[in-house]
Amino acid sequence: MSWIDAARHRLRTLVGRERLAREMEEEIRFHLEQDARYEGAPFGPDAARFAARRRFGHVTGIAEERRRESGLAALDRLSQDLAYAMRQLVRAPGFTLAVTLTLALGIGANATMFAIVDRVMLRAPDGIADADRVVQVRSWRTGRDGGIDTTVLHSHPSYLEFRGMRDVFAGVTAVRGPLDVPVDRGPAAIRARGSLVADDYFETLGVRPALGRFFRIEETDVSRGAAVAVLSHGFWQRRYGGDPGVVGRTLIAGNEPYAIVGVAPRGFPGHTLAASDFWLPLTSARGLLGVGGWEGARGALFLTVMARLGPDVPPSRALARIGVSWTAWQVSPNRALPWPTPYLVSMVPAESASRPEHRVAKLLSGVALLLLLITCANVANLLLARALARRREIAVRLALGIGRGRLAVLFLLDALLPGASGAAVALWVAWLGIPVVREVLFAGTQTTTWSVDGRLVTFTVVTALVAGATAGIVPAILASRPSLIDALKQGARDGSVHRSRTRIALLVAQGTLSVALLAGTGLFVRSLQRLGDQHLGLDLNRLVVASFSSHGSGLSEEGLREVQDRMRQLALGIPGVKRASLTVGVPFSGVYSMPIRIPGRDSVPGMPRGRGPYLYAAGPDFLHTLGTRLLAGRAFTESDGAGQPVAIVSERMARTIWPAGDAIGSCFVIDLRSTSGQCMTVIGVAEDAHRAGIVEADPWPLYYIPLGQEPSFMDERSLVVRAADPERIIAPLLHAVHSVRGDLPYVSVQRLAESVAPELRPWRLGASVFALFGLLALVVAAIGTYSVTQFSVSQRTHELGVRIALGAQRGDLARMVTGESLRIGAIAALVGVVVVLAAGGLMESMLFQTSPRDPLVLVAVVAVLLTSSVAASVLPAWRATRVDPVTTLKAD
Amino acid sequence: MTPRRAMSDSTRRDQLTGTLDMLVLRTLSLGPAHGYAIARHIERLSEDVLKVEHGSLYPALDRLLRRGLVTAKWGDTSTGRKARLYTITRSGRKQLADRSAEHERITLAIARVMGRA
Repeated sequence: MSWIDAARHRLRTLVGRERLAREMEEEIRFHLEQDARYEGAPFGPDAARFAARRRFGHVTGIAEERRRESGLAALDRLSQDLAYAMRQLVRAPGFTLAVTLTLALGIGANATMFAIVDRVMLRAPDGIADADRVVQVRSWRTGRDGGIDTTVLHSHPSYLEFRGMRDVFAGVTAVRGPLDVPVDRGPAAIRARGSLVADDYFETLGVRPALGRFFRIEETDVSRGAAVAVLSHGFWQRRYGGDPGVVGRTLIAGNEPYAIVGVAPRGFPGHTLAASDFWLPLTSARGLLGVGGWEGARGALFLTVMARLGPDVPPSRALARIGVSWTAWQVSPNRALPWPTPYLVSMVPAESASRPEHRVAKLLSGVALLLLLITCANVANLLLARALARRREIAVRLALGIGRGRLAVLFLLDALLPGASGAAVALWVAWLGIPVVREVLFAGTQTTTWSVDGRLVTFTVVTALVAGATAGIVPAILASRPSLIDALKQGARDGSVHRSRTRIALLVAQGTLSVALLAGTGLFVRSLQRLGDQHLGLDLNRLVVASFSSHGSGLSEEGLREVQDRMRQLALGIPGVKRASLTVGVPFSGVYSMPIRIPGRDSVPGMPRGRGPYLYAAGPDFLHTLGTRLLAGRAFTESDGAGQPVAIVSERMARTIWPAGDAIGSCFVIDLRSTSGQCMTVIGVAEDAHRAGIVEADPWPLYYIPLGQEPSFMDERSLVVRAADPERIIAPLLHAVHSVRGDLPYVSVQRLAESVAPELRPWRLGASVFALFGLLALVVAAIGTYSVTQFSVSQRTHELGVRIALGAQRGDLARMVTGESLRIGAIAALVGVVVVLAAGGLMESMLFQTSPRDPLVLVAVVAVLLTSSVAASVLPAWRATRVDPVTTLKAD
Repeated sequence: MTPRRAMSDSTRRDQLTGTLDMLVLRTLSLGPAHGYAIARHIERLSEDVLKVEHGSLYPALDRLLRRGLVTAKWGDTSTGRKARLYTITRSGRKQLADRSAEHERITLAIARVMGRA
């Protein structure tokens, strides 16, 4: 390949310039010696040397030509230009620092987002060998409404079928999880994430243990199984301090003890980025699954199936093999719909792209790109200003015969060199920024490659080059255009220079982008405001929830009730606690729903068949504790638990079912075979309250029954505590809980607000990131405006001097300067508003009850931009008024 | 310097150097050689008709290197001295074949015009 040889030669030229030059000399000396020896010997050595030289030609001239032909000359020139550009940059440290830092900021923001996007969307989880050979088996079909339903989960019998396909798969495994599992007992108990795995999980993923061993085939066998556990490296470090003697110790997960047999390698999060803390065999951990009898049930879809393709087996062949017998062992829950079609998904990327965090990550990447554009525009502007300031020097160089191309290269280098050092700073910015963004967006994912690595460095360097070239290209083109060159050649008194259209266009572009970012900030802030202003029907910020698993406590039902009542009493004794109530069902983390029936009616209005209103089984003080108002009737009393079946219904439920307003006194029945079927009399109506989240389109019907009357399977009780300052009662509450009994499984005590924090995260994040970037953009744009105005004033000293001499008032001059800057700001604001109006729809889905064209936001943003334009011109305006006509007119 | 003159300059140089390039490639197609050997071979081959200044050979070699048509490395000569030996690459051979064919066509055409074919 000629281009490979050529490229190799060129690289050698580049790297070994000195050596190449030496070799050329050596080569010519050899030639002359040889020639003298063979050709001119009869007339003596001197004559021979002379003859050889004559035959050879002009040695220096040829050496010169060789430098040109070999590309050495171009390199020489480039290195001269580089050295020159360096000297110039060192001589202007303020300019260099400004350009470097601006670029570093823009590139750093992009590098951070690249690291996140790269990790999450472009790569497999760490530690999986040849991840592109590992596939997940999924299926899809056209759903009832014509959309596409995809299924990720399989039944255990299906998994066994895949395992039988030895001809196409080198390994097949299945996994359930990661699930939240309470671990250990007493005050040391925690909640951790465990995955339940079928045979060959680690082998299929190609992972080797860091310590001990992984599961043996008989330990994961469905018929036998063994109570053993493998820990993740991170969990081992955190919980066991990296103790090498951990193998053989016991881990209590849920109710059962498991013998720890090994530790997974560092950085291996499991089959998803949502890291597992430990792995248990599916068979022995069946207690954690909550359901039994799945071994032979084709309808029990709960396993994710992963397979490693056999050597040289293309995915298409594996897929064809699955298709052969697919319908024989799949269940079709609805015969009216077509059979699901299987397909394979590689383990790359690590996450399916539908999570809301991904939308935010993409948005952030877009914002980072905008910021980079702004920085490029600003750097271009700085470069132009510098070019104008240096025009005497450039005029001299032009007079000395520098080519236009070479002048353009010089300007380009002015941007590329700071860009290169900016890249180094950008990596530092990314190094600082990655943990922050990761924590906010992808908390709980564990992997070692969240940091600066080769890919990130490559990305950063390429971005820096592109950004440098983008910023440098405008001045470079202008510099090589005769009009600017002519302008440069003219003296400093040229009045037209300050009105450079390019510079103003760049300023307007910066201002426009700032408006877009600031508008984004405003829209997110408005969304957050509207979210906070919602009436939830409960006091989110006053409540603490203590929830404990009744399973595995070793207590009888009565014993457990006693313990829980005691906890409530202790909680009420904590200073600052106002009310406390036991409940089955906690807002925002899990509320039961069961179909109901109204005696004497065929159907329940507003309730689709098989669905019912949500219900809480609540202590007498529950509504008071939550802060939910009772609109009519009475609250529960202590005696209701053991008394007649009664219920309090929500306003929505009362209106839907008893529109005539006769809810109180009516009765309804929980429509389940297992319940007694006694009719519950409605004794009160409560206001509607949010149940599932901060964003709830329409309140779903909801009712409350006294604790003690709930169906027996509603057995997970929690304690809700109301306090003026919830943060301060968490520690005393935990202490109280453990003082009742020291060997309880994990008890979670947290503020209710924390359960909705993940839901608010995208808005919080959007608001803060937009605010940060918007502010940066505004500052950068203001600096740009300042430098341009300042420059224009310094260029017009002469003109200003004349004006003053002719009697212009200083106030007029200041207004003139400020007006110029304000005009640019006004144009930018106008264009920016148009852009926001046009592109706002892109953000619509991320906002809450806020129009992307919110007039208040637009007005505020325009006001901010105009203010910053005026502020940026204050100093130059002041300078303009200080011009001394005598000095300026005498100068030049 | 106007663009047109620059073009005519470079075309003329291309025609002149093109011949030399071809002769160098032709020489190297027989086997690796150092600069002096190439110069001598071209002299002998053309029976001293195409006498070139030895020096002008080297820029030609540099050009061929840059285009990846030859490669160079230091090695021992038959007399045991160190010299820079040039080797023709595969694309060099291809270029040589293309150019030879073209050259033959032109020579034939000229001969026809002169009434000798």
